[in-house]
Amino acid sequence: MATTPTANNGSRPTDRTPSRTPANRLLATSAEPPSSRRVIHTPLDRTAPRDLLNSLRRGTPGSARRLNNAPTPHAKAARRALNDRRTAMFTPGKKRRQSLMGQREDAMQLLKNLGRALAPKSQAISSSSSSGSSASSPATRRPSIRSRMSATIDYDDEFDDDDAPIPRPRLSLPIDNDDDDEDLQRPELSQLDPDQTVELPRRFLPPQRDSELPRVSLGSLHGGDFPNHDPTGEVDMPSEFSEGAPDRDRTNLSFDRGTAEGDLTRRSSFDLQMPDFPDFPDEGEDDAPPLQFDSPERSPSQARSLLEITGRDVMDAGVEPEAAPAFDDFGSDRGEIEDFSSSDEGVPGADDGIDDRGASFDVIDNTVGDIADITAISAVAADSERTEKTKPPLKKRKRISRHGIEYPSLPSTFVKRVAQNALQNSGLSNARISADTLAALEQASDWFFEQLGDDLEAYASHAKRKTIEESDVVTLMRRQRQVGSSSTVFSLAQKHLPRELLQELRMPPPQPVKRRQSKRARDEDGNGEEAT
Amino acid sequence: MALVGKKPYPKATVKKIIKAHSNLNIKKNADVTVYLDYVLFMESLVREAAIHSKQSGERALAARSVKKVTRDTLSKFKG
Repeated sequence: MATTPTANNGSRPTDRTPSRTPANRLLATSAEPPSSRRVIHTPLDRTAPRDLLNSLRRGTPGSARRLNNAPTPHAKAARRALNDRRTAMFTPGKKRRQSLMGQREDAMQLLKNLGRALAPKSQAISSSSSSGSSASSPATRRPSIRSRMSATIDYDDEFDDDDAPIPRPRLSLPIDNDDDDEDLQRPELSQLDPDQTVELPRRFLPPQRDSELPRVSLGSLHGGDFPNHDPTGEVDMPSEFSEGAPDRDRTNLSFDRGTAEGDLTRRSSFDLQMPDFPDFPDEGEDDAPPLQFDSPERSPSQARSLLEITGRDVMDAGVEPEAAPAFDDFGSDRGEIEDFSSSDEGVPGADDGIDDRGASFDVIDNTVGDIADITAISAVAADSERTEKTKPPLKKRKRISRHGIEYPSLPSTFVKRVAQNALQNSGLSNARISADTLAALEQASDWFFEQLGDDLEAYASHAKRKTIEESDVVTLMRRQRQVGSSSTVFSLAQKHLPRELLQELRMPPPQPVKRRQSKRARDEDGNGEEAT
Repeated sequence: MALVGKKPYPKATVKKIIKAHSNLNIKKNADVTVYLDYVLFMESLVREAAIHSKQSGERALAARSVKKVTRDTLSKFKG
């Protein structure tokens, strides 16, 4: 095909092409701008391979289909253009997008315009950006500027903005100058103060307002504890309903609210912390007695503050950073409730951040004992982890099975090889196996073999045999859903085992199970294919 | 596929291990199937671990993900 048409076309291009196949002529006319190529001799070369391509690509005999096939590149381009046009038409937001883009880019465009406007005039860019770039050109100016600087130090800032060389001294100025130092110190003082001063009024305020407005919020819960005079106000929350005779001058509504709030508090896991409360007043007295003596009536808030303080102490004392985040949840809960209280009581929300901190600290304080427990638990866990970590190497060295039989560990090279094969199949980008991973894999394979041995033992002993047979393993694999309707042992073996092992799998003649034989028959076909 | 001059797997070791764990003898060629099962286990383990480590954003197979996945895969291969 390829050679003959070229020869024919070479001799008489115009006559041959129509006579040979109409499709070809159509091809030429439709697909390519025909005139030029027919004049030039190249079309011979082009037509021939195209015919070939057409015949090869799609074996359709019909000429019309060939027509469709022939102009593929051009048709593709045309279709692409059509699609583009369509998409351009149907995408509604082109104009909108552009306008939006304009709106979005306004800032950038402003900056760009600014830069364009400034670019010709200003040379200061080099100076402001970096010393290295500026070093070349403005080095000549420096001495003069420095002389100016020495003369008039007051102009520093303005000069530096305009002229290149001394941005860094400006940066370092705040450290040198006393004024800037003062500016820096003030915020520190303001930060130090609120920890003690700001929180104290907040402690005092809510209970007062609670006494005025009974039981509007959580703070009112504390207010309900006034008659009890217990420093551990929150503990008495349930006791309000039982013992709270002095509270009865309050309305039933207030009681209902109290219950609701009680639920809230219960949600916030106060119940869990309740057993810990009796301990806290002592700690609080140790830590901050004056606060407690100030207003025994406002015990709950005090307790809170005390708890805060103790909490800080605990935190300072080095509560493990791991333990602290565990209480964030409680802290958040408590924080929410405190927010309620603050909003209800009209405490200005300005110190919300402090509130939150305080709340978190509160909870941590409430759970000082818990923290201790948890630290103990974590320590225990760490110990257990250590023991776990220490155990495997021991196992690897000398391992004795359940039945008191020593057994060797799998060679790590073998595990690695198997795992690497699996990795290649799994297709992770980096097919390397680190030492840690290898250790984990070895551990897993150890466990696997242990499990497998147990299972095989169970199967064999169930069949009242003293030896593990292949059928046991096959049963196990069927139970593992490795062998099923979709895959047989042999198909799996073909996939995963080297050929010698396949041979071995096929070798053993005594296979009493029927399934087995049918499988083997099936598999031998596959093997034959594979072998050849 | 076949590893020339290399034994495909430590047959004696596998046999010993199974024998120790099951306290039973093993028929002659059963360990080949055991090895096949082990390969399958390893494959699924590595697959799961690869997925896990990919999800946690690691390039290579991470030991942590292997440890995480081990339990599930073992339970999957419980007979």
